[in-house]
Amino acid sequence: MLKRKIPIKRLNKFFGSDDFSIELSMGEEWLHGDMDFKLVLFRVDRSKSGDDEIYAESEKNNLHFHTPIEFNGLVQINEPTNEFYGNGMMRDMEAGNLQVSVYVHHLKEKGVDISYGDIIGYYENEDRVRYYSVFNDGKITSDNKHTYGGYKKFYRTILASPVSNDFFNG
Amino acid sequence: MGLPKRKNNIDVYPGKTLYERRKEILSRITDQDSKLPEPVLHSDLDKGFLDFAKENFQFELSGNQLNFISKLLTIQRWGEISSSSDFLDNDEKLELPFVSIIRRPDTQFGTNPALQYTIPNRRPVYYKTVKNFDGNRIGADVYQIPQPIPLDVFYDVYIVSNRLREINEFNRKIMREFSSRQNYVEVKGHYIPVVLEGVNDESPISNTEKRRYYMQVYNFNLLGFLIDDEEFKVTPAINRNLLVTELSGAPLKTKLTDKKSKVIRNLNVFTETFLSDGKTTSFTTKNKLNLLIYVSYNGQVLLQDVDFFHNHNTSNIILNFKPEKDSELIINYSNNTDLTDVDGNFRTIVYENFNIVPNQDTLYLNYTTDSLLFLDLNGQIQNQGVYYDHIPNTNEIKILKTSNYNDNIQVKYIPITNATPGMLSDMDLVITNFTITDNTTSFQLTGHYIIISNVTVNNVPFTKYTFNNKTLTFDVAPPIGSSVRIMYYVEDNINTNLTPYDFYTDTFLFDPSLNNYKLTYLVKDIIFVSINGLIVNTNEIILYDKTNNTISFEFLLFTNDEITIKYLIDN
Repeated sequence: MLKRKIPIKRLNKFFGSDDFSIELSMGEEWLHGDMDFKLVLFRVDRSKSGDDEIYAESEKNNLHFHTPIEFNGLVQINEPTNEFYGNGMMRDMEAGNLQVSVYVHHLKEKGVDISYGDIIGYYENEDRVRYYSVFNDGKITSDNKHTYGGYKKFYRTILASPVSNDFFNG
Repeated sequence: MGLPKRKNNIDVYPGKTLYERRKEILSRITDQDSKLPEPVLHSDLDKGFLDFAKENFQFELSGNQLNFISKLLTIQRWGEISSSSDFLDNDEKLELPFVSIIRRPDTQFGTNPALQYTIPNRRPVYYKTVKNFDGNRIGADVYQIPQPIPLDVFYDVYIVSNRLREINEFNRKIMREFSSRQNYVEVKGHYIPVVLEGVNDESPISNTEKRRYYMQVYNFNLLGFLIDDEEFKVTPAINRNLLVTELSGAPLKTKLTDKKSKVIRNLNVFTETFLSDGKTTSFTTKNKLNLLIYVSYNGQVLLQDVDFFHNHNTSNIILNFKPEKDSELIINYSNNTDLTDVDGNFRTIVYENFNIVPNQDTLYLNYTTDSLLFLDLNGQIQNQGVYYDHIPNTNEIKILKTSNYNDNIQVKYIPITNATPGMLSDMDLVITNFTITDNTTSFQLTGHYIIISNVTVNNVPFTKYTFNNKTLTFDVAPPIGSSVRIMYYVEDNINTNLTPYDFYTDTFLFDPSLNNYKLTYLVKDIIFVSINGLIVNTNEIILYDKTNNTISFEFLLFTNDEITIKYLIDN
C-alpha cells in the first residue's frame, strides 16, 4: 500500500511550490556555482563493516565504504583547540569541528544520505585533506531555521569531528 | 493383569554430580586439540557476558519485543546504526524499548578470591605431560602454564523504555537471575562469577518540557581471569636416561699433575695440582713444604692463616673452606730447607706489591732478578707471555694487557744479589707500594710474623708510626697523593718458630774516631742496617767481625749519623 501523501498548502496565497523551487535553484546556483565548496562523502558500508561479533567496531583497514561521492555545501570550520591528553603531559592540538550546510535537494539529486558515523573529507589545500566523522547528521529538520519561511525543509546542517589517520586516511 | 514391573533405576539427578561432575567440567576445559586450555582473553569475557545477557535478559511483553543491541558499542559511531538497524525509525533513532550493554573501558586487577597473589612472579606450574613421536622414538613434552591473572570487568546494562511494565519485567528477570547475588557466565568451559553491584535510575521524568522515558542502568562486575596462551611453556621431557659411570683407580681427590716444574737458583720448585672432590679440605704434597711459594684455588691466590693453614715441617695444606667439586687447587713450593744458591750465597725471597696507575705498562722491581716465582693480578695468577713479560736480569716487568685503575699486582721473586746484607735466612722481604687516596692512617699487613724494616713517604724515611698486631698506624695521615712504600719481613714459609725475643736492635751515632761498634749480643743473622732511616742494601760495605762481635762500615758517614742494626741473636 502506498504511503499517503498530504499536499502542503501553507503560505499558499503568496508562496507556493514554484516559488520554493525557484528560490532553491537560485540558492543552489550561488552555493554550487559561485561558492563551490566541494566535499567528499565516504559512506560506511554497514553491511560489510560489522564483521566483529562482539564489538561494534572494525579493525584498522577493515572499514568498508560505498563509492565516495563529491557534494557541495556551505562549510564552516571551528578554531582548533590546544589541550593535553587528559591530565597528562602529551599535547593534543586538535582541529576544530566541521559544520556543513547542504541542500536536501542536492543530496536527493546525488542519491545519497549522510548518516551518523559517515566520513566527510574536505580539501584544505591542493595536497592536504582532513577527514571528519559525522556526529550529528541533521536528519531532523523540523525547526524553523531549516525550513524556507516555514514552508518546507530545504537544507540540513551536518556536524562532524576530525578523525585521526589511524581510524581513516582516505 | 499382572502388577507393573517395579522400577529401580529412577534417575533423580539427571546429570553427573560431585566428583564426576567436576571431572566433566575439567574435561571440557582441558580436552582441546592442543592439549592445553583455550586462552581466555578480554574479548572472550566480553562475549561470554554478551551471550549470557542475550539468553537471560530478553523478554516479550504484550507483543512488544525488547530490542537488544547485540554488540558492545564502542567509540566508532557507525557501529551504533549497524548493530541496531532492525529497530531504527525514520530519523535513524532507536525504537523503544531497547537494551544496550556498555563495557567500561577500564578493567581492574581482579578481586576473584581464588586467584589472589598465590603464586608469585608468573612462575609456570606443571599442567600436563603429553606423549609425542618424532618418527623414530616415543617421547613426551611437559606442558606448563602460569596461574591465570584475575581481572574485574565492569558492564553497565541500559534499558530504555516508555512503559513501567517493561521496566518491571526486565527488573524481575535480573532479580531472579541474581537472587543469590551472583550468577555464572560460561566462557570456554570456565564458569566465571558475575555479580550484580547495583541498579541506578537515570530516567528524565522530572522535566515536563522534554520527552520523557525510563532509563535504568544495571551495574555488573564479572570476576574473570586471563589465561594468556603466550605464557604457555612446552618443554621436552626426558625421553632417554643415559647413565655413565667413570671408574678410576685414583681416589676422588685426584692429583692431575705432579711435576717438578723448574729449578730456580738452586731451588727445586714443584707445582702440584689437585682436583677437589667437594668434601676434602686437607691436601698433602709429595714433598715437604719447606718453602711455600703460593697456593691458588681456581687461579686465585689464597692467603695463609686466612684461607688456608700450613703447619710447619709438614706436607699439608688445610683449607679454611670447603672447595667446590672439580675445583682446582695448585700448590707451588720448594722442598729446599734454605735459599743458598749454587755459589753458596744466601738469597732472599722478595714479595712486592703494586697499585697500577692508568696507562702504566711497566713495573720496576726494587731488585734485579732472573727468578720470578709468580705474578698475580688482583689475586689471580697470571701467565708469563700472556699478561706480562719479564726481561731477565733486569728489574723491569712489561704489562702486555690493559689494566684497570687501581688494579693490584703482587710479584714474588728472588733477587740476583741479596736484598739486604746478612739477610735473615728464613724470612721474606715484602715491599708494598701504594698511593694515599684518603685520610686512612692504618694499614693491615699480612704474614705469619712481621718485622717492619723501612717506611718511606714520597721517598723520604718516615718514622712517626706505630706497629701493633700486624697493623701499621701513622701518627699523622700523609697528604693525599703521597706515594708510600712499606718494606717488611715476613716469617712465612720456612720452618722456624721465631719470637720477638730472638731479635735485638742496636743504635749508634756515627763517631769518626771509632773504627767499629760493639753489638750487645752475638749475631746469628743481620736483618737490616739503616743509616738515618734509610735501609742499606749491600753487604759488601758492612763488615761484621764475629770474633769481637763488632760492626764496621766501608762507606762515607758523617758525624752523628744514626746507625741502626737489627739482628737475630745467636744463642
